[in-house]
Amino acid sequence: MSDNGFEPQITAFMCIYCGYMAADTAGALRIPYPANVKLVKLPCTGKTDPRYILQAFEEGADGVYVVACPVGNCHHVRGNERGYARVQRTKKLLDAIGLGGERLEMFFMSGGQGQAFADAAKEMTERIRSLGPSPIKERVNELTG
Amino acid sequence: MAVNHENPEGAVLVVGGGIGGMRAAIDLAEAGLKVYLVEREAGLGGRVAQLGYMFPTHDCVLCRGTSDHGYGCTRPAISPAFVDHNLHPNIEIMTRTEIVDASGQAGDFTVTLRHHPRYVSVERCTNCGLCAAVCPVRLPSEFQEALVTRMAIHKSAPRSFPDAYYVDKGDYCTDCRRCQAVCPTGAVNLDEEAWDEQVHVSAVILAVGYRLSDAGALEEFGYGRYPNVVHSMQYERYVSRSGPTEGLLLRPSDNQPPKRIAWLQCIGSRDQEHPYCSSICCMYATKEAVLAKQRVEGVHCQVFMMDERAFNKEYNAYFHRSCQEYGVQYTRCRISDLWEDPQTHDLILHYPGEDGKMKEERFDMVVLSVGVQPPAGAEALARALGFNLNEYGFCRTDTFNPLETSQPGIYVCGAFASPKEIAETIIDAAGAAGDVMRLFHDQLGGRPSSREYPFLSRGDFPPERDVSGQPPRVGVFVCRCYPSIEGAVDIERLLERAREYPHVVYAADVGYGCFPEGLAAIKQAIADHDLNRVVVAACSHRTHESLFQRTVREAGLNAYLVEMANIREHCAWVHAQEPEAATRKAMELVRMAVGRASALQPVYKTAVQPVRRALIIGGGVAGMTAALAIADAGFDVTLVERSEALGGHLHDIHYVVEGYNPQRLLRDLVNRVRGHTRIDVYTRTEVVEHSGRVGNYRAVLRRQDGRQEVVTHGVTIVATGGQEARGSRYLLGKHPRVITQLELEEAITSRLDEIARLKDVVMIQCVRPEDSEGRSALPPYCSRICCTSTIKNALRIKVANPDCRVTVLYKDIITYGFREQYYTEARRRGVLFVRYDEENEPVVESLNGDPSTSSERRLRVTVQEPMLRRPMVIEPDLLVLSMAIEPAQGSAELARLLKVPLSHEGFFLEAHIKMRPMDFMEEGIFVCGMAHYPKFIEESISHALATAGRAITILAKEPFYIGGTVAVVDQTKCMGCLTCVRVCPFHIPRVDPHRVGAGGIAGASYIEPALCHGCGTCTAECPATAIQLVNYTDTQIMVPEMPVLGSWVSV
Amino acid sequence: MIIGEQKPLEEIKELIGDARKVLVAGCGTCVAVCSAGGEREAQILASALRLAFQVDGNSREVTEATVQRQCEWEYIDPLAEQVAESDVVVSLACGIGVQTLVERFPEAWIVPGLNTTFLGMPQEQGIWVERCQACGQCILGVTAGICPIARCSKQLLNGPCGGSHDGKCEVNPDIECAWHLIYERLRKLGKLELMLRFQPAKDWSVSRDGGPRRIVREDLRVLPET
Repeated sequence: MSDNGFEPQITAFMCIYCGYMAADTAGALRIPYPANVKLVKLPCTGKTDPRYILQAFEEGADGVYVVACPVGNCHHVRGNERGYARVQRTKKLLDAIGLGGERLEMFFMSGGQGQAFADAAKEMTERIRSLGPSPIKERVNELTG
Repeated sequence: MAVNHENPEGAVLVVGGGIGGMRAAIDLAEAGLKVYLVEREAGLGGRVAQLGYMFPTHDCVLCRGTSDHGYGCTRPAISPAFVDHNLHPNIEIMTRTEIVDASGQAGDFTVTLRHHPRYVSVERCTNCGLCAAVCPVRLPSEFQEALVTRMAIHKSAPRSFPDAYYVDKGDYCTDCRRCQAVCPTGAVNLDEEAWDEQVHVSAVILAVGYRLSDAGALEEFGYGRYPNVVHSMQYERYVSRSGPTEGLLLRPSDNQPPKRIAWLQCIGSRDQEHPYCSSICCMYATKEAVLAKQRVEGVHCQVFMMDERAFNKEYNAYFHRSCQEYGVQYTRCRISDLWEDPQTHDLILHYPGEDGKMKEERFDMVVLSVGVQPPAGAEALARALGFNLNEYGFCRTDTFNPLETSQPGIYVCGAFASPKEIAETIIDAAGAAGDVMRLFHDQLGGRPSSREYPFLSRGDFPPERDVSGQPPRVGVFVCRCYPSIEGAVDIERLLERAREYPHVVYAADVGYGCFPEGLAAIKQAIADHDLNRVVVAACSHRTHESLFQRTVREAGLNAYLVEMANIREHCAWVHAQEPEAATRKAMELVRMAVGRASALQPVYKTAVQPVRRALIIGGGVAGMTAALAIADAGFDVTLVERSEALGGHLHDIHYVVEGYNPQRLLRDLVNRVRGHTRIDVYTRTEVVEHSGRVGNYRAVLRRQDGRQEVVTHGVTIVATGGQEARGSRYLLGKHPRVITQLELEEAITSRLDEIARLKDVVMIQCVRPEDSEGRSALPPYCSRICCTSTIKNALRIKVANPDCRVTVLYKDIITYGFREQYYTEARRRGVLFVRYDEENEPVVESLNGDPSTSSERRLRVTVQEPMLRRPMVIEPDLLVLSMAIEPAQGSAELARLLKVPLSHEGFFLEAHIKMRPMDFMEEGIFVCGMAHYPKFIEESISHALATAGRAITILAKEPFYIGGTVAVVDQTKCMGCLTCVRVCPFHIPRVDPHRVGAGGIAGASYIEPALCHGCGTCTAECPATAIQLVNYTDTQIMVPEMPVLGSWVSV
Repeated sequence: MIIGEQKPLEEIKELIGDARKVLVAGCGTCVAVCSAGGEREAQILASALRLAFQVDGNSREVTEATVQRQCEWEYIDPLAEQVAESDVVVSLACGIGVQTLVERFPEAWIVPGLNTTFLGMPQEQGIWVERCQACGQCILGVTAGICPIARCSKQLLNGPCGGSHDGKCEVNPDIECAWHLIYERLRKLGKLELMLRFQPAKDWSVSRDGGPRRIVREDLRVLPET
């Protein structure tokens, strides 16, 4: 698929409202996106926890992103804003760790935006591909199989 | 063929599956009544499903329509109780169905329904889409307002409900039958025929909505000829995230972002042919303009209108934000025609500029703000059901019985009664449901439903197996969903891999998992292999989780012990071109589901028997109406009134513009309340304490003499009303010739001779009281009823003395709906309307200001006449002020007592301005009448009935359940730091001094399970990690024994 | 309450040096409340350290444990085994907690993960402000309950300096002038005469200038049994 043979492993956290729905819409409209994104559902992106994100990287994720309802349209009013604040903090932490905050991103979209969901997956895949594999991954690959 | 449907007693027929019909249906169903919800189209949702955003909140959140917190987005439904596999057991939905005939009377109607074929079985359609791919017929999409096309076999909307295709088998269908041939599940049957069915129902609620004005009817605006002239619903689709452009605003002729957009108001409203106001267009145009400003940088938005009718809570503030913050320009002018530049397709408008001279402006897009017309088929419906329409073709209602049609037992809600927006439609719908509940009180609760499980049910399940302490035994069931999943994912390899995952003791494919055969196979395997955790690898949690939860519960497992892996929408459908990658991703999604399933634990909700009594605070028209409805439905009511008499401000209203007598209403209400055995009336009494939770509140009442009494109750209704503001603006209280509209009404009623002698009367609208330093003591908001009151009184003066000059100084005339006719009538009778604005407020002076001879003092009113651009000076005999309506005194203290919020205007703030206008965020507390916002008597009545209906849904529950996915505090870890209290979006956690926290220190957080929304924000923020969200614990997300968050299976 | 702030990850890594086994010790009292050193932060830091060392190609064993209060021997006793197994302990407590660990576990190498910043309170979620400097001689009773030692940039005792403008401090216009606040509050409460009371020069010997302080309450002490 890629030029350098590197197929990133990406984890997307998403709320069960717009985030999950946007993924469903992408499916219903058959909008393709890279198959290397796996989806973890949260009741709301207000549940986004730096520990979950860091653990994903510890387990070998090359990139992580969070998909939330549009700002102002969160089912839980402001949960997505709390989640955003935590994502921003974790980006800084990833910078300090040396993995780079750009391996983490947050997207806001409405449940009807299948194209936006696919675009986010593409954008993250391209970004991570150009950043290269996470240096953590080599060590943890033997964990699974 | 005609089928006689066997019907339970007390069934209700709800006609129309839009937002109003859905709201009424869910409340009736929750109260234990059987509901037939009949919709003419193929899917529910009505107009609202097409709207991307609501004013003034700019949210879509239909998912906030009820307090249910089910899975994901519920568009077009307002509640997860309307999602296919979670349908309320008391609701039967009939799409593509119309009413052809009816007979009988209230309590015993026989209604003949005609079901038009869908040609596709809802049960067997898996949404694979093969049929549409082979259909040769392209037609304009109704859902997208003809901006794109659809096939003859299609879904009414991408997320339609029912979630299935149907065939629009008009003349254009070539009957090629390719769809039928290609359907893998045999769901298509093009030979289906329409069939009739008779249902017996006790009552009917009409929620048939409205029809948009035909934008092409007014040819001068070029709709249909000029590509860049669109109507407002098309514009809504452009800016909707589910629209054809996913929200990109592009002008039709060249698909470029528009730079200048004009909105033309009152298209099909307030004209000769439609002499009423459509009520919604001012606000939606404002919303649309703001959306353009938010989306397109530097866009110029100009709205051409007569009055800005922003007459509801927060609307005025929204309008001001639109002008000041977003720079939307409002021009007071009714545009009569426009031209197109054929080269650029720009549109040219002529209108008078500020200097009065005509000017020409070009716009690259024009939006016609089309109005509200009676729904198609209204006359046939009226004939079939035997109710009357009014002169405009809408349903006729009686002012003080706003939800009843002329036919007893048939109720109406929403825009079919008069043009209405979402919030009012919801109030009406809940109110009509409430009215029906009181009528059929003996059947309430007759068909109980249960929320004991994460899905809706009747609660009749076999005993649950105790799996505590058992190591996980996971069964994996893979749905082939041919061609959807099987077409992309190698099912055999997936199963092979799944069998290697930890704890998996069984893995098999189940054909179509959601079909009865598939479900039976799952249940059988649970029994045969002693499974205690289940993974279903199939489609979306959102659509099917309830189904599989129900299935495992039927097999004796706790409903929370099933986890889905979405290998269809999230995998097969989007990676069909890469089978290898799709198979690997499916393996990974299943592995994650196995990990999570192994960590799942049974969840049990708590059953609560409600105290079957309502506490109603405020004994005005709203409080009394709610009390009577609840008492008639068979529940006790404690009605608390602060003053010495029931009736509130109804005492001050002597007549209404429609001509009815409010005093008769007052006497009737008071007599019925006083005589009702189920209503305990406490006058001269206030509520001084309020605690507890839904179903079980405790309040302390204090009488004026100091005696206190405790009342326990299941629900609380706030109906404390509003009051006419006073103050000394425009010499009120300082000059004998300056009075308020209420005082004028009193004078007209009791001293008409004096009024008839007046020669010159001036009325000033929108008067806000001033504080001692001359500043306005209230924020600017529209008090909604004053314009109509003013016109009502002006007309009375004109009738008493046609020669009296009556001049109304106004900002915007707010005579929405059919009240517009009285505005027209007042102008016809010679009442002068002179507009002023905030920069040029009228000046009122007292002439020869000697207080000792006050009665002889004259007044002088000076106002800038906007047409003449010159000051206009009047020396009236009487100056009448329309004072703002403010919240009742003590509202702020009561709000603190009940722990409910107030709006910026000081009125009680409901859970959601659009979707839940009678609920507070705290379940079990409701608001109605002027405590919510200024409103007309009939609006207070509807609102009161709505709260009564909502209250009855709780009072009639036997029992109701709380808990589920809620945050739970481990008090032994809580240090009372208040973080959860401060970050909760709903302000639910409280640090309770009686709870012992970490280290044995008093003061630990408590999160009331009846109130928690389950978002998990607090759990992700608690510095001590003392809070866990049930069913989403850290263990269940991070799954320490099986790395699922970052790693992937290798192939 | 003691307010602290986590040190930059880089600095913590330097403090850890070559140690192979790292224990991150959280404290569940003051610094937990200010989201700097509680159980959640300890878990986040441990995870971040594991990642950071792996990125450096030099992975370490990083574990974490949080106690109710690090400034009490009784609460840190349960850590004994984990401390003994670690090459270094990163304490996420305030400086007091770090030193309590040091005194309780004299064999262990303990480093701070926080900068203990000040004594203060949360102003709103996410904002903490300094309110006390533990100067040893409280004058809040005459300054309307507003501390000029903690809140006046110059620690003036007798009214504002010439750098008070519109209620703001010349050192930084974001800082409110403490003496302006004192004046306004005294005025509102009708106690302006207190402004005129002369404050003698402060006895700094009861503050830090007098060396490390200690308080002995004979009435509270439990003397060793004789």
